[in-house]
Amino acid sequence: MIKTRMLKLPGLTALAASAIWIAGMPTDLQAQANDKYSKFVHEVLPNGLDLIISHNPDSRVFAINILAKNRAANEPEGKTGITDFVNRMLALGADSMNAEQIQNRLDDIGAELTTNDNPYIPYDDRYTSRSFSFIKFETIDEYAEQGTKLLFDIVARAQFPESEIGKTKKKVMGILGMSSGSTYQVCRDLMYKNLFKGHPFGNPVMGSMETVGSFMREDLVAHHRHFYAPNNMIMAVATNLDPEIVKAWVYLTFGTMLGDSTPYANGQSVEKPKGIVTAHQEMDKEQVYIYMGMITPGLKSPDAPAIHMASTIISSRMGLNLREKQGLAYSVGMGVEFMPDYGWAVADMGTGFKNMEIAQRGMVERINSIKNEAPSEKELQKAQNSTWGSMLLARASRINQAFYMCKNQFLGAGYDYENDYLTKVRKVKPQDVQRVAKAYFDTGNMVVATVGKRGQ
Amino acid sequence: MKAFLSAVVSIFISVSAAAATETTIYTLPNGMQVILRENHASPLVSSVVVVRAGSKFETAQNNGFTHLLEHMLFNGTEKRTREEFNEGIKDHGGYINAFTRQEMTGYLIVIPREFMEFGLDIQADQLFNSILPEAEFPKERDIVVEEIRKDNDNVENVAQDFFNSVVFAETPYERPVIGYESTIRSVTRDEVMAYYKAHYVPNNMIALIIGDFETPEMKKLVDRYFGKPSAGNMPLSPDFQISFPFGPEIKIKRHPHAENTYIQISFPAPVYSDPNFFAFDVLSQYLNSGESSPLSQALTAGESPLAGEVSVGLEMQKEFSLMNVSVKTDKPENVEPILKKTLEVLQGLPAYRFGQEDIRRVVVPNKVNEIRLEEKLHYYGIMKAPYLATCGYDFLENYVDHLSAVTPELVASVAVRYFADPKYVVCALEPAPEVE
Repeated sequence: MIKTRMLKLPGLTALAASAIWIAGMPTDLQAQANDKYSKFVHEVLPNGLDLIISHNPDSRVFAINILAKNRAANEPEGKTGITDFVNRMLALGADSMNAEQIQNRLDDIGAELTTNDNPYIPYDDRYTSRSFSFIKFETIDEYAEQGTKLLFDIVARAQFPESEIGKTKKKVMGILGMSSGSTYQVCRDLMYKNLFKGHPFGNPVMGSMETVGSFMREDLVAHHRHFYAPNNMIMAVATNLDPEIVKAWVYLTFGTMLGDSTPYANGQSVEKPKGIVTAHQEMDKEQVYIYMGMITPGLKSPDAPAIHMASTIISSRMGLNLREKQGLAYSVGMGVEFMPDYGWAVADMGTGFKNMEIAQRGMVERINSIKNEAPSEKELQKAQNSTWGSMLLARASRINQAFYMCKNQFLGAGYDYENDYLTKVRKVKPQDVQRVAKAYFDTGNMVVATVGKRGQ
Repeated sequence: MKAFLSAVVSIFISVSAAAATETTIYTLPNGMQVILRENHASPLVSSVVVVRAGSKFETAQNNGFTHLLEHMLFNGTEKRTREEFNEGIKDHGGYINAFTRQEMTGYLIVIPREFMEFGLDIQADQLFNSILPEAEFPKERDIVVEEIRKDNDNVENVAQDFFNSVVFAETPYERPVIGYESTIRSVTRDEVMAYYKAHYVPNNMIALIIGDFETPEMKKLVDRYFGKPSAGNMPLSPDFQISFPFGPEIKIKRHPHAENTYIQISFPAPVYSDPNFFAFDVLSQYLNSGESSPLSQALTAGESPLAGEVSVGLEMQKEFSLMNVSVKTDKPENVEPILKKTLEVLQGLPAYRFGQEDIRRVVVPNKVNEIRLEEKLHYYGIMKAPYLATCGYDFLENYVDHLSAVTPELVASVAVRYFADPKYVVCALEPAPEVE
């Protein structure tokens, strides 16, 4: 274990970042620290909205994240990408406001509304998921009440004006056009399409030129009514304000929304690929992109923390060998994502097209290396500490705290799951890592997608 | 010898009872500037060290050295191997990265507060004692070449490189920060070492440390780790004159992988020290205000809009500022109408009656953004570093106050001065015609 010489606790620091910090502490201090910092209000409103409010007095930021559940599964047949499209149109007309008036009201309170990851920042898609959609809203305490009302108007009373639909199609098609030239984005979609054959996760998040071109106003209105119904939403607020007051604002706004009785799709089970499923798309680019995908157990599995550690260690080994020793890539790595009942591990790398074979072989060798020999205690400890630091950093902002509370609640782990998660991660042993790698990182039954020029 | 803490300024910004921030600014005896900003919201400390060495200090022959050097600084020091260095940070739950720009290079560490001493020790070692091992050099060159290839595959990067080559022709700003495969392949380790020795002296650096620490304790650590190296000779600033190729001619490049047409129209703007700067900044942010921007409405509204997207940004360097209007359209034939419409909107600004409300809608988002950014320790240094290198900390510290002091009359006056008869450079990257 790392030596923790920190004994002094910050005065009023609270919540997610601190909860993770606490999990990195010696165990004898954890209970004392948790008592001092954890302050949550959790309530399911009569209309089904799942509301979580966390109180954090150390920042003036007032942050709300709204998660709508089972995104891909609830997109109608032939309407892939409609959730992304709806999200892009939320602030283009709501209640009696047009796009300009909404923008002015957002500017009046300095609010930042984010409904999609930024497609112009490469790799900036860490929040985009096939399993849910997000709406992030940030302002500061003095505008919190106005902000809550404005967000309610935007989310609940979106109008989808005809005049904005064509414009949004143009914008989305522009992004799709740009993405179609990106080996990274095309390869990722190719991998998902093959790993999740016949499953909604096989569909691209933004849809295609054809589906986007087909969206009519009535499609958008119907999908919005169904998907953004309160009983399909989880809302998390991170604030320094009195949670009871914030709760009252939410009751007066989002609490008035009507629930939807139409059944929601919850996704379906997935099957492991049989053999090595390869998919290639030719593209005349300097680099080739490689994605490998495998099905793993989900978050409910007691093996989830060990799977997480195994992918972290392999990722580090890939970086050390393929990047730092061989200089094959600028970026290479492996990660794992979980749904409650299944998960998927993904390794990816971009490299010069002439290196494609050697890179693929190297990736597989690194994945298999952990099966042949368990990691050392030191290597595992480094992965555990690195996970601790990454989670701490990712949850430093109130908006990310709200995001991860929603995500964990959606995954059935509970909004405060991360308080315990690192404890579980710390309990993983080297033999656990080797065992789960052998059991689940099945390089004989995986998808290998490549995009670019084939090497000679 | 300079007195220890020759310039010490403590600023207390009382934002609210919820978040009081203390900033301490001073200079070490070796000339390194230090800015300490306490922020106890998360149990983390972020240290970004800004080195005033960027691609503008390069020549055509050594283009890309600065960025390659940034990579080489992750390959070991006199007392640490590469593994000890990079893996050591991970082992302490930390995050380490670096970024190179035209005017500076930034080195970032974010680490749980209990390991802040370890983090500063590593960072100082990296900056002052790297050995740029010969054995690592070919591999690091290969990694940078892969990064160049990755950038070349991104049409937006290709467009930006083209715009820079036109707007900044015959100056160091015309070259890509990352360099070319040819320059990276030809560079020797000794040349990079010479560049390192010349530029990485403490009096050419600024440390910005923000996070969960007590200032007196942090000062001791900073002195211990950043105070040791001796001051060196300041590198010479590059000697060049900028003369922008203003004129109505549209400079066009065609690219086989472009799906859209990318347009940049660059207008001269006041430099950051000009008395008109903040009024102009308000004006440019007003033009970039999304759906309520008159430029956005003119170009992207209606049944068949001219463009899909438009944004406005202020590019600030020591020698100049430019206001860049960036537009994306799916129709190459729209380039001329887009230019015409843009000029119409800008030439209409002198007649527009700016109100206090217009200014407030620029100032409030900036005020809120500052508070939001303080939470994001990872981004804080990355966002502030280029401005620190170019404009200094006073500019950043007083930025929102200066914006708040802008009046409608001042905005109207800069609108007349800069847009009644605007000068501009216009470039476009278009899809190449398909070959039959």
